[in-house]
Amino acid sequence: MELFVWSLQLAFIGIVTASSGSWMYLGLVDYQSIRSSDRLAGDQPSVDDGSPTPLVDPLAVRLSELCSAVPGLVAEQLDLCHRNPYALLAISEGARRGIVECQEQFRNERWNCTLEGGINVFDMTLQRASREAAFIFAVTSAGVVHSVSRACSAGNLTDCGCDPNKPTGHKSGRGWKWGGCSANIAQGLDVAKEFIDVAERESEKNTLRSLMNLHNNQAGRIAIRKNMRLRCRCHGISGSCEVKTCWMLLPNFEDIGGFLKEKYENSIQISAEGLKKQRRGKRRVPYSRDSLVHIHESPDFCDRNAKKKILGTTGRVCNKHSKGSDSCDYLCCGRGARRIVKRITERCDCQFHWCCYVTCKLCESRTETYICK
Amino acid sequence: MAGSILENLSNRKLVVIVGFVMLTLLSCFLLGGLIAPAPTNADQVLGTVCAQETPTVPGDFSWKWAIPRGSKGATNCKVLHNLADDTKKNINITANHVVFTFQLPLPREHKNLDYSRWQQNLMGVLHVELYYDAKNPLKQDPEVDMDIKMGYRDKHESADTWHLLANSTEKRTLGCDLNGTHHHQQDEHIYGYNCDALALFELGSLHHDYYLVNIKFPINREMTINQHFGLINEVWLVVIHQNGGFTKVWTTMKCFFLPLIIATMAWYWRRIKILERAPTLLECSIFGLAIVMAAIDVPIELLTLFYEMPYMLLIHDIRQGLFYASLFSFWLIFCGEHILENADNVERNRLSVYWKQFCGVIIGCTSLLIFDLCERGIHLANPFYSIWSTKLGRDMAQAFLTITTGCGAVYFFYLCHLCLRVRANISCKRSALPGMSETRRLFYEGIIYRFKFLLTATIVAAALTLVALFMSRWSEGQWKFDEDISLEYTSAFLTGVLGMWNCYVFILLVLYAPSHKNKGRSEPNDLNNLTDENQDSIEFSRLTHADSCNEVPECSGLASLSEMAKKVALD
Repeated sequence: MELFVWSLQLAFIGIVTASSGSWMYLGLVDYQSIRSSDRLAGDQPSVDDGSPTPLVDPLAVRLSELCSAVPGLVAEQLDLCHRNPYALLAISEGARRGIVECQEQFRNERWNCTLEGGINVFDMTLQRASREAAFIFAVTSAGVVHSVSRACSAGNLTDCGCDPNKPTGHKSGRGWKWGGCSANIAQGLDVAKEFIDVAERESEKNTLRSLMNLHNNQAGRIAIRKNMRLRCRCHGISGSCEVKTCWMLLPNFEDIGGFLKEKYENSIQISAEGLKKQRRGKRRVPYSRDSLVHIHESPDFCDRNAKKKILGTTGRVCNKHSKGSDSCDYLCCGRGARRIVKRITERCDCQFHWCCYVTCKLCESRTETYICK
Repeated sequence: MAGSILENLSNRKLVVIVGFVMLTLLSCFLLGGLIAPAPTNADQVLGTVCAQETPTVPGDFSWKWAIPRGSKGATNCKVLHNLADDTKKNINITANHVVFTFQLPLPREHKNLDYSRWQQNLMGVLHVELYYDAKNPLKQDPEVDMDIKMGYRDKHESADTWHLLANSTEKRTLGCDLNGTHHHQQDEHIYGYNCDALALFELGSLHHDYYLVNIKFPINREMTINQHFGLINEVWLVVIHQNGGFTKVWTTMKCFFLPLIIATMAWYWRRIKILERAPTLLECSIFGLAIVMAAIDVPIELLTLFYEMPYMLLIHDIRQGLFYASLFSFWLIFCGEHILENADNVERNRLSVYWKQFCGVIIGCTSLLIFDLCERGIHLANPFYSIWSTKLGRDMAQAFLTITTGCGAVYFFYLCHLCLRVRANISCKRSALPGMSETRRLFYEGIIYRFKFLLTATIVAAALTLVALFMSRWSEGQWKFDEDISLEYTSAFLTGVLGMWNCYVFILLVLYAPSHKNKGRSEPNDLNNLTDENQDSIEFSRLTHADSCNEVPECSGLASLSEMAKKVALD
């Protein structure tokens, strides 16, 4: 399924200013290929047994250089990147997962998570402070938590903490040999918070907009935490449940996308007055920690608007028989759809086989597609 | 049985002893809750997917170790970052090229961690994440075949030197939630399945510093294995080890209790030896229970710091099993000896009387032992073995466990029945007490008091165990982030239970040892042979005792009335 193709050249347009979403650009850089093309350093960062020595790993140096080339990163983000270039790999992977998942979740909607270019990736959408921006912030933040946790678990990130005081409630202070290490999700949450939230603190302090972004970043992190899967194993006497050990499994990222999509649909509008009242204690908290919040209503995304970088739905494929958001009535905004009939021969009924090949049949079929006018 | 210390103990001394025991118990509980870490820790390791140059056929373990963090990065391993995407590119590999590799433990804080021998044992559980493919949906309970190779390395060796620990071909059944994904099926997304964890291995001793697990899901020429699932997306290995801190607290506790129990045992046995008669059955069974308790308290865990002892888990199970077997036997004998039925009084005090009841305990324990030997015994030869993975093994395991459960249930009901019988006899005897001769009355009152005390102690012990178990279960359910749980309930439960059974045995030894005040008395059954002189002395101690013993509400009206009258007379 070729969901989207991005070009590496789409950046470096416009004036480079630090802004909240700039780091998402990392998701468009194919660091994975940089990593695998770099045969000098192998695939893993080096670790030492004794005192930490400065990294003289050519891959790390290259990653660090690349960091500086990313437009619009704030000072703290650059600092983290130079201190720990490998975290950058995980963060960029997280941003990429977030963007892919966004496009996957919205492929049938009027707004289909279009990449708008610019250093913000979602240029105008992010500036609009609508619920779409809320979703993007949440899903990329969740992506970073997910991929940093994964990188720690795969041993790709060597600086993952071992603070047993974190999620599982162990006693702290005595280290690995005394009480074991915390789950890796702790590191994912820390990195996501440190790396993403810092942009808000840097630029516009305490404005409604930065509150919105911080809240949605947090909602993304909470989405992962809430969807962790608890698994247990009994291993007492003769396998009895006298002693039981439990752990939290990372959720599938696709499930996180679906979870956040639901939150998107129930996103809550906030206003400056509302927050002031809330701060004075006159109103109860109008939204929970895991819900998405937005400031402005979204446009309807029906018509093309170059200034607002809205593509419009003209030319989108719709589904004649659907009743959902991909139905021709809804997607084409009442303009109607053209019917295109084609006779094609294509690979069909493809099956994955373990491992690693795909078998397909060749089918000749008459397809009927509808395209919005 | 002759009068025990319990009956002749002043109230103050009893309170002191019970208070000491309670304090010990509380400190055991707090030791586990405040100082010890959780008993075990689970680490999740995401498998690195490697493509190797030369494929192997199923059952051939000659592939080179795929090492994710070797001296020069990934060794013998071309890392595939995304198997699903790489498959679409039609790279020329088959399942027989692909190795999932796990290097344990994971690095943290820029350091290569290594296992400590204090961490005792290692258990591996596998999570296989499968892609949902609408065209090739998962069948119910698919089987996976794995070729697994496990290696170890020590600190002083070079990063690429791995020694074979074990290898095996294993078949496991994947239990997956097929319905969980149904709402995605219409829109043909590729989503994951939620599958149960698979038991992978169990190492009884964590003797080496690093471990390496290589897993292949091979295919054969006939295409008969590993064909029933679409695509393995990723494989997680959850490794569970005991926490070093917990082992330290645990062994410290054992080192404290062992001398205490042994010293009490010596004192107890000396008191019995001083008596002119041979020890009674009940005395012997208390002593036997104490021996088993002492055996549990021997800190053989310390030996694992120097020697490789993969049979530690088995020893642990056997020690615990022996303790429970002797505890159950002791309860049987205790109830039996206090049954107060004159008709068979003569027959008591012999082990052979109880053979029927013992059979139940022995059959139950033996079947559990056989089950244990089948699982953990075979682990000595093949750490990947699981009795649950084959149909025959599953049936056998279930049969053994059913027998054990059956025996346990029969035992429990029989014990309850026995207790009720004793209770019935007690109330019957109590109403008859005032009419008895002084000696006879004292003899029965002694028995009643001894029985009630142990019954209370046992009920308290059982209740404490249940409460602690419930609390540790509850704390497991409260799996929350951000919250600092200040008490480690699971550890507290384990240390509390160890402390409690030690205290239980200690109390039995101290309070149920023969009393010196009865020294020189003849056989207890010959009640009528008692002389008048010592009758008086006993009478005095017994009466003051009955005074304090707060059993009045349970006495029948007649009995309490007569006791009142006696008190008035005494005054």
